[in-house]
Amino acid sequence: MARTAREQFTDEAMPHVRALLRTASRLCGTREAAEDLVQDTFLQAWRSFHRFEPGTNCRAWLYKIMLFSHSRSRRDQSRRPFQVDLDAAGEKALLFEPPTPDAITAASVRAAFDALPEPFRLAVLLVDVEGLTYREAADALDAPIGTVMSRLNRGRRLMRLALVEEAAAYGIGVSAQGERKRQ
Amino acid sequence: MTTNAECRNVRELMDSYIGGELTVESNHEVLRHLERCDACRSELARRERTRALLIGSFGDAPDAAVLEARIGEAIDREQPMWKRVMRYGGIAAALAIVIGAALWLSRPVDAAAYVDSVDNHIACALAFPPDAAYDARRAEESLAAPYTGIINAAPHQSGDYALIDAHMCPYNGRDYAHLVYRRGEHTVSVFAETAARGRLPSTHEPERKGFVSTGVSTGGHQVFVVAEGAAPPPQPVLDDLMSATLAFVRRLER
Repeated sequence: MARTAREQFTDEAMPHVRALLRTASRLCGTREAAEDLVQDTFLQAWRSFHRFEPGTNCRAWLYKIMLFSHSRSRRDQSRRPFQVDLDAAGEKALLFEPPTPDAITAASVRAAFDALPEPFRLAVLLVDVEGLTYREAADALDAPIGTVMSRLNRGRRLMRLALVEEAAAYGIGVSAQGERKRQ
Repeated sequence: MTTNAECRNVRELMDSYIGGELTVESNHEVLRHLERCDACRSELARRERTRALLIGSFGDAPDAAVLEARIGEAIDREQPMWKRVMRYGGIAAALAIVIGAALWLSRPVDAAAYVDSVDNHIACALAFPPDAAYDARRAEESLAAPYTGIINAAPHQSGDYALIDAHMCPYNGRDYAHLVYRRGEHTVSVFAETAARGRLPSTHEPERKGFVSTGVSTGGHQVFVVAEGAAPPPQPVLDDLMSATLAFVRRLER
């Protein structure tokens, strides 16, 4: 017997509520704002569910809707276009491959992540934290896969660079081959 | 014995290795190097720890049961409205189809559509050197909006046919997005363009200068696959190239 659209939506989309809420919490900062964003996302997804092609990646589709809603609401709030000079931000990360220092903590890693420009942070969040594939992240961000890979690469390097700089501030250095030494 | 160049290369690949995103070949390359290189093994451990710390810094996934119930109720509240829209929308949709069909049939005919696709295949695709290979950067730079995403939508390999180039291809006043596939000496073109000159003719020459062109119109765009008449690719390859490109232009039209 053919399933109703509501049943299909329940089977295809609803299992992703928890994952989207987790990402939304990271984007919005507060649980309340995150829940509102996820609810809006699922209502929009339901209204356009007739356009969803069964068999394609529902999770990436939902992320795409949510990230678009989030960036639109941020633009509305700031009343000006959101712009980051990605070339300038990523240039530093291309100069060399910084080794990861030993002395890292969850707080220092999180601070390095929070300091990333938003496009890099989103790519790292979706792939390294949420576990989306490069392809899924490209669909969710509505960007070519090469762009996502480049943002990921730069974002990870910028994080390592920030961790190296923090370690150096505490007098801990890392050699080119990654061996720790006291300065 | 490892070299700095090897270490640099492996560290470039290391994050993708951790994420399980490498090809089998690159994965083996990294594994082989790690067996021999203490410094890179240490770097891998530090990167894995960094990623684990980052994930851990966000805490556990929140309990979403209450939110799931709230979303379900919100959707159920919307359903009656959508059912009304569907009921009255049915009449409007029938009218729209009749009017749309009348307008569609009154559109001018793009009489040279098939001829131009074959002629451009000969002028452009066949001129690629025999050893031409796909260059992602070149393709990205050669495409223009709204077709930049076509390289992600189109297969890079279909059967034995490999994508060797993608670019914007102005020809006879048209502005094609042109994908070139090749298998040995056999070349296939896929063209996508806006249907600015009207609808496709209902009949056309089955073969022109030894090449056959298959065209499909989506309303806003038309897509052509051009291949050798005597040695065309297998039907699944033709279907694959056509359907991927059609799916892409249909997404543009949404």
